[in-house]
Amino acid sequence: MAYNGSKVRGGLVNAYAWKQGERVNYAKYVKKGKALAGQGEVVVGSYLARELGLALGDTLHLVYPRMDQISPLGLYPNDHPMKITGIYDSGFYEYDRSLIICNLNDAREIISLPEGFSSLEIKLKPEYLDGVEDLAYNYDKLLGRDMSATGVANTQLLRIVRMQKWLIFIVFSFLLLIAGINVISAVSTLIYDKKNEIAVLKTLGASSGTIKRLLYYQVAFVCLASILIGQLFGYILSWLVVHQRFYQLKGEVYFINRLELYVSPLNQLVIFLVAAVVAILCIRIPLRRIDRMFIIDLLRNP
Amino acid sequence: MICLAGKSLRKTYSDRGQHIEVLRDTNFEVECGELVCITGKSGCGKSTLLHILGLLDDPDSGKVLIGGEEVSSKMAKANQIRNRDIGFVFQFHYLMEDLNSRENVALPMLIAGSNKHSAFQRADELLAMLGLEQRVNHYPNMLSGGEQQRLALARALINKPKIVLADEPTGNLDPQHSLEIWNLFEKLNRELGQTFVIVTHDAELAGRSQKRYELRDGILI
Repeated sequence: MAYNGSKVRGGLVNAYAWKQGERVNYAKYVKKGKALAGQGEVVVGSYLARELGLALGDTLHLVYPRMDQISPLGLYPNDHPMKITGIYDSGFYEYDRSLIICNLNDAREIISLPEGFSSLEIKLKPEYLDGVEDLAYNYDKLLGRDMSATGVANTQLLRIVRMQKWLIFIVFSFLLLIAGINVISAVSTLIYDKKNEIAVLKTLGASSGTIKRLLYYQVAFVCLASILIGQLFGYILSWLVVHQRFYQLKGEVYFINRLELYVSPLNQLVIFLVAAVVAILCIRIPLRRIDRMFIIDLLRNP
Repeated sequence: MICLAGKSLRKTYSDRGQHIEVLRDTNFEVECGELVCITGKSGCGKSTLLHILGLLDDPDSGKVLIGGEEVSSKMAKANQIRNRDIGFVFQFHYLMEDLNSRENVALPMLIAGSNKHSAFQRADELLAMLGLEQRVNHYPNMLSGGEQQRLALARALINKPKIVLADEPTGNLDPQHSLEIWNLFEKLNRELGQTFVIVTHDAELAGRSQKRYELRDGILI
């Protein structure tokens, strides 16, 4: 537990045995102070500091309630005052509100551990993330230790993100369908507007196939250019969303307080191909009408 | 030599249960190099006859022959015949608004598969012949009614067709421009031997043609 005066919050202490001047992976999130905590120092998240009313240089009290030190008067208080020498802001609410980083020696002292460590954390590269639970199970059986996948806090978020990706996929599929209907409607209107020209071209000896090809290339070029412009616009918008600092999400509500977007080239290619195929199919549907347009009807009703 | 012929042409339109017979066993022949006029009252079927002769429409019965060969709008090569053997001039010029004069005139040659250079060269020659050499790069909306019709005539002539079919070519023009266009038809007929079939209301101009037909009660007289 961490407290300051009457304000108390639960926390998770991660302790490290750093070498002098070591670069740590969370250093980029430390917005104030330093990333490495020395003896009697801690690095805390921005939400936790705010909720406890603490700032850089203030003292945070860590309490570790020990069930083996119960006195007749209750739990033996084990208070450890630590100086805040760094405040980080990862953008992930769960971490920013609960994670406290300190020196391994301080942590040993807090939990009265003479040497060693209470747990070992193995970090996996993102590509192994999907199989993390199987991996933990296998190592657990192999080593006979209490191994578990501690994607824990993130699992829920990842599941939500995955679900949202599916929802967005469904929404965008509908949008694509509407865009396709718009293409059909636009080509139908184009054919109607150009019916005199189509009649003249047919009169001059152009086959329906030639006229369809002419319109097809014209509309397909516009569609493909629109898709590319849309993708470029999306890329710029994503960049702006990531880099803007005007608006932040509420971490308490959304788990994170800003969006981290990654534009995958493969996804972009798939989007381009799917959109292009839909556009091309939607262009072809109304163009079939040209076969059924008779010159004489067009000339009589200009 | 017979350039264009229609044999026993019949055409009936149905409107709200009423059958209107516009062509009744109509026969028609044009010799190569002739300038023929077809006159008649409004709605008597002049344009229908012209459309059938130009493979834009089909008769209910009868046949059309171009250069002695039977042809029909349903033939696979009907497009090719319209492009190569027939030139069209309409009352409303039907020029492409997005194309300039040269491009409009070159269009039938480009459809036939000629290269752009030779099509534009021929278009320039025709535009010069019809007095439009100063209008080569102008768009149809920048031209007068008479000039637009001359442009349509140049377009009809570019593939050196066997016959030019003109449907009320002066119907939309004032008397001065009508005369101008008519003089052009006569000049082209005289100097190039171009065959023309012209449908018109103008009895005075029709009177100047070598052969004149009148369509009355579905029969050519």
